[in-house]
Amino acid sequence: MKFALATMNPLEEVLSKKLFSFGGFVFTNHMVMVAIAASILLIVLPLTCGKIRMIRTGFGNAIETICVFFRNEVVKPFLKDQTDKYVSVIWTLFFFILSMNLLGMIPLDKIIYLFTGQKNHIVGAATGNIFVTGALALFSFIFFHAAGILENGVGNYIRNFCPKVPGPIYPLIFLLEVLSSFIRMFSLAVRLFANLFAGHMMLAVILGFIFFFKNILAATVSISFAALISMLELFVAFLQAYIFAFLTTIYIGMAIHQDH
Amino acid sequence: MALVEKIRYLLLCFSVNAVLLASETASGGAEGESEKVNIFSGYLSESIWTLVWFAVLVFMLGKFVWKPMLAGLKAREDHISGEINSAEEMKKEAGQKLEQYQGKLENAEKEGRKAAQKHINEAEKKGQEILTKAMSEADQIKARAREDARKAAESAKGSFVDEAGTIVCSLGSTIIGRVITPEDNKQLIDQAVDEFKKSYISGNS
Repeated sequence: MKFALATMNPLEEVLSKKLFSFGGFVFTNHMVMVAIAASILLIVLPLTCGKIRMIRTGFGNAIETICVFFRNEVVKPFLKDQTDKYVSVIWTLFFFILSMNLLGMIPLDKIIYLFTGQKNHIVGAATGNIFVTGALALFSFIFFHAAGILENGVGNYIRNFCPKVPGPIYPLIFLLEVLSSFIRMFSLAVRLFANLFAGHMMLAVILGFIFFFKNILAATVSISFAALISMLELFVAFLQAYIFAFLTTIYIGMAIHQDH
Repeated sequence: MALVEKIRYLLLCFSVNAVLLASETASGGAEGESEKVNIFSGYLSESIWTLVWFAVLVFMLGKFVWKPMLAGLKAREDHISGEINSAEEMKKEAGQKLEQYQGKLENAEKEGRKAAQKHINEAEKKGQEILTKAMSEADQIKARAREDARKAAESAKGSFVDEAGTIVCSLGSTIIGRVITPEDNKQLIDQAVDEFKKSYISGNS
């Protein structure tokens, strides 16, 4: 049992792998995925939504529907008049995370193996990497504080950073607020990472049963179950991207409207 | 959903167990390598790379995708709000026109009723006049007819008295055997009346 699991390591599918280093700058498979996801967005989105249109059709219409939903149902209730000022960043965040999540669902390394016959690790699930999700969470953290400072001014922002409390406990509450803002960043990073990581791990384990039991029944059950779990993971891919963007919106709203 | 979550949890537990076993084997079984598997493993370069690409995305998409999309959305919103406003204006105008027409309709109805009432009154008046005229004419005709009847009766009476006198005279002439003039006739009648009176008085006494 121990041996079988060791030979089929589920972490193989998820952990980042060093491809090469360039003057101390390590290049990994997840960086390839980040670049692919961003490139796809840079090609597809301008082609489908790059022009001012009163009525969109096809894929552009689907993208615009998501954007309109975000703008009207998610961002506007929190940012109100400043919606259009910040919504483009929220849209970018959502589509970037979503594209990375969805690309992670595609077994590109297996497809490359089918065509080339060579084992490779040049692709993987980028959002299953804490350094990738952490970077996005760090951006979110910097961005919502920057928005708060921009809208209220540095002095006002720091003055209203924590609620009105009696003088003696003010430093403690201020410290707690600072800590809570860091925890927000940490929770953003871990939530996305853990969900995606666990999903890919689970799929790897389920498919690993085929190599463990080595019979047609196990293979049938594993593949059926993996297909069902993949459906769930597809939903999770959308859900986690939405949650990340949604929480970032809430944090920006809280930073901008400190009185609420 | 709860069942799926339970399955997911069990599988997660299993996978974590598998990871631990695998990592144990990997660390123990590798040739001289004691590389510990860490799920939080990664490189700082990945974070920098992600942030760089994200910054590129924010800038490029913001300029070439979201800007025109926002402009399109605003244009559409303006168009829709304009359409709604014009529709409301039209609705207001239509309401005003409806009120005007309803007012006109009410006036027309009033005028119609007035005209109808006027015509009815005139008709009634004319009818009454015709009836009065007809009745007066009928009364005149009746009076004329009565007059004619009375005259006819009188003339008939006169001719009957003449006729009776003639008959009486001719009968008296036949009986007496001489021609009786109306004076003779009168005298005979007076005489007969006197005798009747006498016989009536003596009879009563």
